[in-house]
Amino acid sequence: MINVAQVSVTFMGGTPFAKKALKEVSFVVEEPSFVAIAGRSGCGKSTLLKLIGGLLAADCGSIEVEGCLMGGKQRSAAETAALVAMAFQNPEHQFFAETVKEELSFGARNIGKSQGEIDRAIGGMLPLIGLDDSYLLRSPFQLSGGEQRRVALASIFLMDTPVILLDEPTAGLDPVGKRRICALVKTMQSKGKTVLWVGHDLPEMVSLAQRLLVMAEGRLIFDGAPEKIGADDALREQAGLLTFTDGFDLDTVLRENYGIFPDSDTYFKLKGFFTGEED
Amino acid sequence: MYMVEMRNVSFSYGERVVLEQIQLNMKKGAWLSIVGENGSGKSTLARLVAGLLLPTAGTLRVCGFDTAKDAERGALRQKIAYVFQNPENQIVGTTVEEDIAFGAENLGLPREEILARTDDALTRFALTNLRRKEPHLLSGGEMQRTALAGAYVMRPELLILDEACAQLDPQNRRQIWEHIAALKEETGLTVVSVSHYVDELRFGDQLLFLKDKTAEVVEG
Repeated sequence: MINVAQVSVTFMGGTPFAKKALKEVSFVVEEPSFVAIAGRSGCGKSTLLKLIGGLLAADCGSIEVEGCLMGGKQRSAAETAALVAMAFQNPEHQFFAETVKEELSFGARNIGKSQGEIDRAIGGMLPLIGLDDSYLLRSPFQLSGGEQRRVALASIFLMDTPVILLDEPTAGLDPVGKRRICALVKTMQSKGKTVLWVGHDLPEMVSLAQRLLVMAEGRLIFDGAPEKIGADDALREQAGLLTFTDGFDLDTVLRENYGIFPDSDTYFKLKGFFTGEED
Repeated sequence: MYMVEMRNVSFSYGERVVLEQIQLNMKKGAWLSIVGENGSGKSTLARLVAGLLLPTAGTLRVCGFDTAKDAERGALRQKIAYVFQNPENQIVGTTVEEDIAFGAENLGLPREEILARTDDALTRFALTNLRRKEPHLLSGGEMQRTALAGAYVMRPELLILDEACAQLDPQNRRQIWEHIAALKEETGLTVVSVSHYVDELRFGDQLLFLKDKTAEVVEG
């Protein structure tokens, strides 16, 4: 499905600001699967996604998706887009259409799907993103943040590409919104898609991914089962995945900072909110 | 006098009611954590406090100023600083130090004072070796520290953080929050923060939970 071989990239090469963003990165994804990519801000995760998505060209090395070489000029943009779809950080910032329906249809139509085909696919997608028909004629700009994110991701999924690249798809969402996105992506993966998910949330990635890649300063430093990283503090530190709280859990914080004890209504409301349990 | 005082504050975007009858008393030196679902009105509330939006009903006083009064709002702006989720939205300088100095320049301070405050901010937020770097070449964490340093040079009495760390990895988030906690400890700064993370709540002492347009406020 994906073959990344000895890929290096330098930004602003030949200037005093030259920065090696990727250094000889190699990995292969053979079967449709869910691969998480972690690492500190600035380690090259997003650059790697852009290369696989054909949006950037590598200085050396090669990238193949579904047997096709990426980054060259041998295929049109539409042909590349039919192989691999990418959601940038905050994909909803790219909304431009007047209605949710148009927003959902645009990408799929661009790679040559008929409106009839797209309409049927939208019908199947709406329940998965927790929306109904009444949303289709609304402006995407008037939706809540969580709804916008789901519409933006759904528009990517509706392109029905074998490979889907997601750059921090849950950043900035509340716990319920995060859970919905995770469920949605899991559904896509169960349909035989390969999903590459860049993120910072270790429990989230452990629960979703079959494989974890960790990057540091442009290099791939770990490639294996996500569960394995949990016990390795040094690796988690390099990956920027050490937990923030050092043992502070919700109950302790609510009690010690705000005097909220587990017997109160407020406690139950907040607990439900933070664990992502809907009423 | 309270730092933030809301009396029956409501807000609507056109027909759509976002906040209804919010009451809040926030003391000077407190740290208020605002939590709630996406779309529950957290950022709207933060913007109301900053005077970037005005209540459609009720009264809101911040640092003693009524945000609905034009003349008072101008004075209020000198006392508060706002850090957005995406630092790129508020970085304007061509180098890190110029960007940090911008807010202080706007306050009309003497040149020596601007330089002194900028140096101090560079040190405090561990940006000294990046001072001449172009902001667009910074990593996410460095950029957010620059935005925060730019807020700090204005010596605000009230700092508003609207998911200021949502785009950072856990270690960078921790670094930012520890910088702010240290600043609060030293200067008695009042902080309003909007967050989705449990771990960020451990800095607060007052909690405002938004749900169904209304607020539940709990004081520790």
